[in-house]
Amino acid sequence: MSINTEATPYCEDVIKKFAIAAVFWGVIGFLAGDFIAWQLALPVLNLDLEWTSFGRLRPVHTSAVIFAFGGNVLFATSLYIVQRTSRASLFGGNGLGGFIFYGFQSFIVLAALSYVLGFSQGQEYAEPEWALDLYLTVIWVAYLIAFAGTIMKRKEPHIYVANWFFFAMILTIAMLHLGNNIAIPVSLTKSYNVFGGVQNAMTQWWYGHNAVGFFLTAGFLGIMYYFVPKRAERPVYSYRLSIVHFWALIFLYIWAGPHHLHYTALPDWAQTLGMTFSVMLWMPSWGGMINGLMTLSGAWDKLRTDPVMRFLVSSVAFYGMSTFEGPMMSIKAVNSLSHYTDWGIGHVHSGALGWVAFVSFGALYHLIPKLWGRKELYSLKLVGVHFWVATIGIVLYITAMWISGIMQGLMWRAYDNLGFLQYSFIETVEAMRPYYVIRALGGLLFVIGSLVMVYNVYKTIKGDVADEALSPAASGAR
Amino acid sequence: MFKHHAKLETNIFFLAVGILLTIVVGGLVEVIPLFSIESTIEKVDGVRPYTPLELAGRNIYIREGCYNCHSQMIRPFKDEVERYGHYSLAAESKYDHPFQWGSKRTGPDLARVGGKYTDDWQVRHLINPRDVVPGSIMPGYKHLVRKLDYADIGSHLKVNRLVGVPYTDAQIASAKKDLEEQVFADPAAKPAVAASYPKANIGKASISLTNADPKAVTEMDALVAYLQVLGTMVDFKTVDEKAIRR
Amino acid sequence: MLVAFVDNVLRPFWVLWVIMVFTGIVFYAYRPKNKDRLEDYGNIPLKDDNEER
Ligand code: HEC
Ligand code: HEM
Ligand code: HEM
Repeated sequence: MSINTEATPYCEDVIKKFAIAAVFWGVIGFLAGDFIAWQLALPVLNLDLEWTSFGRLRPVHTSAVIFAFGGNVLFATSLYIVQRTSRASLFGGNGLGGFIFYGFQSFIVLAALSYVLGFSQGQEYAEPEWALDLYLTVIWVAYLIAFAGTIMKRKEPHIYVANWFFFAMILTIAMLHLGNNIAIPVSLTKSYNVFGGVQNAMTQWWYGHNAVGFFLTAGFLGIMYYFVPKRAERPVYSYRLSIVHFWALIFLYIWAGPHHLHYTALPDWAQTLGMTFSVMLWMPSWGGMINGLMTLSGAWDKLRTDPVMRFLVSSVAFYGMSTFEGPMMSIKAVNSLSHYTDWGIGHVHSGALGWVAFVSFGALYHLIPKLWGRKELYSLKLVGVHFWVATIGIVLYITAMWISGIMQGLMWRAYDNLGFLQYSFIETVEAMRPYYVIRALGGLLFVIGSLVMVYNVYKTIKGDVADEALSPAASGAR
Repeated sequence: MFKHHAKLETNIFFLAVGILLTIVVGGLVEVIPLFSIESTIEKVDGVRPYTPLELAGRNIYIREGCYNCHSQMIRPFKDEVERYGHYSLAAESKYDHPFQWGSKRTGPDLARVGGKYTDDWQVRHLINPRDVVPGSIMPGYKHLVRKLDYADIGSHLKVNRLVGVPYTDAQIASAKKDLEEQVFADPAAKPAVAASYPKANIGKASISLTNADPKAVTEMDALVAYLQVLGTMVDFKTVDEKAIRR
Repeated sequence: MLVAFVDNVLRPFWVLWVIMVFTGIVFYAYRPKNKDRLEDYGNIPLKDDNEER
């Protein structure tokens, strides 16, 4: 193949905006998470005000990290990658891009305000009321058009695999969002879902699980398939494996929803299906992990010399960890202990902090100097600081939750030797407190790490270069 | 056949079709049969639509995000059944739009909390949980002493009927009256609301609150009416266990 | 119609669907004939126009 010498006029203003928004919402979302973590340790922090009680703030946290932080990362990376790998400028240009950007940011602000004020559909990760759902649909369709339009203009014959993951994410999220939010309004701020009871449970977790599977997994795998090879300066370990990975992953994921409903009133056949597919899901997930990690074979020294690479590679390792834990928790016998406990929260955050946030940090650290035309970041040393502070935070968080989760599960089912339940509920609540404090401290470290990132990004954009010995990777040794 | 994959790789339209086919199957297979298979929802007596007051209370439960800490789904294990009561049936939440089974038990399951405590306990607990349960980490809900806004309660019942909850025309027409009656009627006088909705908890829950208007329906009244009916509709003494086995 | 199709065809035979689709894809991806072409696609991210190298 000939090397293209003509420069394509990539559209990067809007990418810059998304990247900054991602950093901003990341900090807000982590702060919200740490605040609710402290609330569980110290209930006075609910402040006895309706707007600041845990029940209203928890959806603010989940939406802020998943949709605001994760969403902006996905917009920034996917719209960057699709242009670069298609060698075509963004369809619709900065105009359509700007519409998506401002539309999405205003959606986030409105959604967060609406939860605080008490408007909620009462379904996890689908809290925004119907009017906001419609608004989001318009933005999402604009995104679909910008993304698919860019692919249609491409100069590269083949559609690179990262784009398949993004495209599957866009289509599936559209389907899930429309399917799970069919509701009849009573007023602007209140509606009733057309599904009720067990059917609603199934549609909700078909949505909820695949929001994880496609938003937090497929989308971020797209990021992995571009930024890991790019940073390692070598092609992905096996392109053929990535094809199998893609189709197997999207096919299996969609069935796994019922593992959120084990031993509930959902019919057994559906639970069994969900369990079977969840266990099978382990294979493509690890296929993807291997593909990401092995891309580094022959370049392992980069792990030592390049802290950005360290973020990317650790994220893939965390991905492997949570996609092992997940299938295990899908086995009904294990789930009977883990369901309803903090174990689930630990699983969520090993995926969310270790995988989603870390791969995002890696991508942002690679992307930001490129976007602003800087040679490298202001300071790679600070990236290393961020990495270690955040990693200790994660370790504190998830080990605290494993211990408290398993303890909670065992205490709930413990009997004394007279054959009575050994613990009242409140005793189990009180036993959790030390772990809630440890988790909140871990969260605090994670927040501090993200503030280090803010400083580094700010200085990079300003054009400063820290006074430090450039490591070989930073000077671009190859 | 394998030339087709090359099409998938180079044509965004075919890629879209391929992806959609792949993701649609699983959803269809798991969701559609829930509507068509008879055994999904057990046949038991007693489950009725919520009274207008309970429905208003349920909406407050959703508004405050109680589902973030409380489940409403008792699993069929010995310890859960002993702690919370009979395991939950699908039939018991069939009129719940949305369902509130929950996924996290920071607090105990509430599927059968109805009748477990007095109205007065519930009110004091909601105002400040630590007054009655010292180690509690549940937030306080002082603001629920305010008046309930129920001007449009009739339309709420109507929309519920649209999504499949069998409210009668009479129930919709008398929604406002039923709501007020449930708070202010004398339970001994057999009020109409109790005939229309068996087992409704009649009476003013927030009566002991000095800072709430005794002549108004408060949000607290609604929420407590909802909590007090949870899990009480089915009388398990009359249920054939074999018929509900999963 | 849809319901009958799901109940009678899709639900009972899902194992078959999985196996068929999966072997199809693996066969396609790992056919020796396709190897060089597919692996070359891995270079797409690395041949970026506007990056000085
Ligand atoms: C931070 C999580 C949290 C939130 C939010 C929360 N609760 Fe609780 N709830 C608890 C905990 C912990 C307990 C156990 C200690 C106690 O009794 O206070 C509890 C106990 C209860 C009980 C007593 C149950 C029993 O069987 O003893 C009821 C009733 C209750 N909550 C209702 C509610 C309602 C209604 C809301 C929403 C307005 C709500 N809770 C919101 C954590 C929470
Ligand atoms: C500083 C970092 C963070 C802290 C301290 C934190 C803290 C918390 C806390 C305290 C909860 C409530 C747990 C409970 O109800 O018991 C929670 C829930 C949740 N968080 Fe985080 N979080 C952080 C970052 C993130 C990130 C980055 C993501 C996603 C990308 C995330 C996703 C979620 C989700 C999905 C839930 C709901 C879990 C469930 O319902 O099972 N969090 N978080
Ligand atoms: C093979 C992959 C995976 C499988 C099979 C899996 C399985 C599970 C299971 C069984 C639960 C517990 C459900 C319950 O008992 O309530 C769960 C919860 C959860 N998982 Fe995973 N998981 C996987 C990967 C991931 C990844 C990579 C992430 C995140 C980024 C993630 C995010 C979540 C979230 C957010 C929840 C909590 C949902 C809720 O209750 O609100 N999972 N998962």
